[in-house]
Amino acid sequence: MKFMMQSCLMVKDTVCDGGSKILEGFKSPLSATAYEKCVAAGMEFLGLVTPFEFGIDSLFCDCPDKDGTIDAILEGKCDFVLCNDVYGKMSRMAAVNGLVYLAGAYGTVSRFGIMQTVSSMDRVGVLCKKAEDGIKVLETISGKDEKDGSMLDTEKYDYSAKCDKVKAVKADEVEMKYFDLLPAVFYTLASAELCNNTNRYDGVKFGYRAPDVTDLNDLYLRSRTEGLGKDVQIASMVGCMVLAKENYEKWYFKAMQLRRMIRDYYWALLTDADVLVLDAKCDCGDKFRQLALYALAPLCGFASAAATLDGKPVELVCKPGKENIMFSMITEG
Amino acid sequence: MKEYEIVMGLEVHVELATNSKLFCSCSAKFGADANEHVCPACAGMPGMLPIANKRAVELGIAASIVTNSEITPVISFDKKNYFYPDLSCGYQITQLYAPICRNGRVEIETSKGKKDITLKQIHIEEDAGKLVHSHGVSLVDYNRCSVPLVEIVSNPDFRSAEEVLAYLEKLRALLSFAGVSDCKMQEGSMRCDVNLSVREKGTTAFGVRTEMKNMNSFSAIERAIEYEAQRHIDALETGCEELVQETRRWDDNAGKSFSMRNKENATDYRYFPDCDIMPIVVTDEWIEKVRATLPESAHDKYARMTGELSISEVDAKIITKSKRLCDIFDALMAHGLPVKDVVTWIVTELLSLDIGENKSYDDIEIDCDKLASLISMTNKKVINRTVAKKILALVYTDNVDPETYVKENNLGMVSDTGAIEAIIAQLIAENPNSVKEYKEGNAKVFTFFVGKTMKQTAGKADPTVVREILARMLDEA
Ligand SMILES: [Zn+2]
Repeated sequence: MKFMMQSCLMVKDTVCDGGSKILEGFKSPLSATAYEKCVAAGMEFLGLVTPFEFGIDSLFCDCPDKDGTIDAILEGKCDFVLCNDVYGKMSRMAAVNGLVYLAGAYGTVSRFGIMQTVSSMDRVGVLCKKAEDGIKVLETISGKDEKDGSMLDTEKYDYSAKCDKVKAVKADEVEMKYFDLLPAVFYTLASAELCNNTNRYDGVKFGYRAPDVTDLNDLYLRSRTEGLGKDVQIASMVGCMVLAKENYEKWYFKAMQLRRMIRDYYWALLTDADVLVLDAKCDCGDKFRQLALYALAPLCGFASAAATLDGKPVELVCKPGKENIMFSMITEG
Repeated sequence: MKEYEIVMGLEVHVELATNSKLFCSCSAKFGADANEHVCPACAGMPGMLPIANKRAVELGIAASIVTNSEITPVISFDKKNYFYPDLSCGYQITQLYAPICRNGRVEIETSKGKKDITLKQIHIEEDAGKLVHSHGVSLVDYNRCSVPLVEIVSNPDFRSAEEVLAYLEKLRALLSFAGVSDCKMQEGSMRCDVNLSVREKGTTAFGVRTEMKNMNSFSAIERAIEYEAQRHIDALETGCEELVQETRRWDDNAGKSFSMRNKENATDYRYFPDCDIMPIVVTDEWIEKVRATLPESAHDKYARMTGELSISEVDAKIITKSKRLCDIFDALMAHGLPVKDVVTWIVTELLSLDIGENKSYDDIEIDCDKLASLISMTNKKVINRTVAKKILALVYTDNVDPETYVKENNLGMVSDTGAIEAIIAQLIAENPNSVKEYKEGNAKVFTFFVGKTMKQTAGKADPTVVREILARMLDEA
């Protein structure tokens, strides 16, 4: 199989800018573990595609149905693309374009070599045409990596077994508790982590530095203002706000508590049922509502799959360990 | 004037004696060329993830044990955000919510007797790099970036500079003997910030507190405390200055503390949990394993020296004050030298060496094999003591090999009694008046002859032999 990778995943000695001006010309000193595993398995790397900055999504402008990553598959340039899709953008676009997007549960695929955005939710996922291909790739890139301290202990994953009996529930069949809170909880935590993780882009050591700076403050201010995109800047400011001493308890800490409550509720729900099926509608008028659909898996450490089911674009969510069951729903036969 | 009481709390940073850094495998050793010990992780590049250094956690456990602290069963790490070029990631990984231990206790002894200093907590964190300013540009060196530290935070238990110094000496001994750190202030592996306030004696409310940074030696800490306490008292007495809670930088050359820019005082570090590093469970088994492998403490060494080795309490106290001296002691003993000689050579000879300003016993770097060979050459009367002392200084400064040096410079003891007799015979012949005075009972003249004889042999004769021959020949004269 031939593959490409979003440039927010890194390849050694290659310019990887993650779609950000702040990393203009940045030559990576390392390769992502997921990339290494694909290459070791004999898959052919064709090149990088440029994602939205660091693979996040813009919450403040129109969302297109397509981008360069989707085109790479639609135009048949390669068989799959490795992505980081914390905000659910790739999942949504895959579903509406009749493609498949698979992401393992947090801790199953190494985060080493991803440009960190939201450390507690970053997941390498696979965008492809056929579910069978995606499953094979996901098996290849999954498994413990000493370079990522937050991984589960499993060395190898086998997603090949088919399941006939699947207990799937639709969102309108169960109580979707806390569903309206998901975007707020997600955005609070994501902003805090994104704000912190992008501190490293300061114009001092590598990447873009504003010309003719007058002093240190000017260096920081202008390099980051000119180098980082609007959405990262907004997330940075929101992150600063929710982590500020006087706000920590009422914003960040509360979001952490809610995350735990949300997780506990949906873990119980997905212990009882196997798979939760969400309608992956693309309703751009309400982007935060849209975000709710895709926040569930990264917030709770679930595995997810975006695909077309019964002719409809859907987002499927399951607990780690039940991937076989979930994948059985979107494979043919 | 009213009577005032100084109230102080200390924050002591100690670099852990690990081979590698806290979250990457770069060397943590001191003294490399700029940016020699740097990798993508500690340079703050994207894509890298921190992997906690187990040895650093173990040294943190060791620090907790020797300070009688309560170890936290599950420890975790947090991120502290601030922008400065010496911090490659734009945040420092530290411990806020679940530090390695809390509620410790360190006993100190001052002229007023024994006292317990209580500790609020000890936490593990990473160091920052260093900025070098020269020729109008600022350069950054990340060698120290992510080197592991522990910060030992005391309660406001100190009432005098003497107590502060006694505590720092005690901490240094506890931590260096436990192998936690080499605690060298001039290399920055031990640093101390002093929180100080002043209140009227007998009152319980705390006064306005200032934090002082940048003291690089024990004597600087003492001066800084005296200055700052007096500044507080003057402010309270005269009202000439309003005290504000702030961080101040000590300038040892000026002998004054200066307020740091207000911006630094207003920093909100926006702490939050680091989710890249999973919480670490510190089991009782692990703690006991660390405890079992702790090297002999200063206290135990003292007991062994004054007990089975029959060393005087005075000498044992001097040697056990420094981990380095104890190491030298053990190394010399391993060469099979007599205890008495080892003690004398350390306490009398080694400690009278000029080791340089602002240096402590812990800074003595000397090749113990060479020192041992020097001592045994003296014992075997290959060289005399005066020559040995001179060579000791050379072993210390230039690392010369005593045996080679003695051979090359022909410093071997003149044991040829014939040669000594010839010198003395000549001296007697040249100084008839002195011989007469000796015969009349002037004992000082004997010393005069000894000195002359030693000078003629260029200090190489054995003084005992010289005395014997001289006594005989003067009587015969
Ligand atoms: Zn490193």
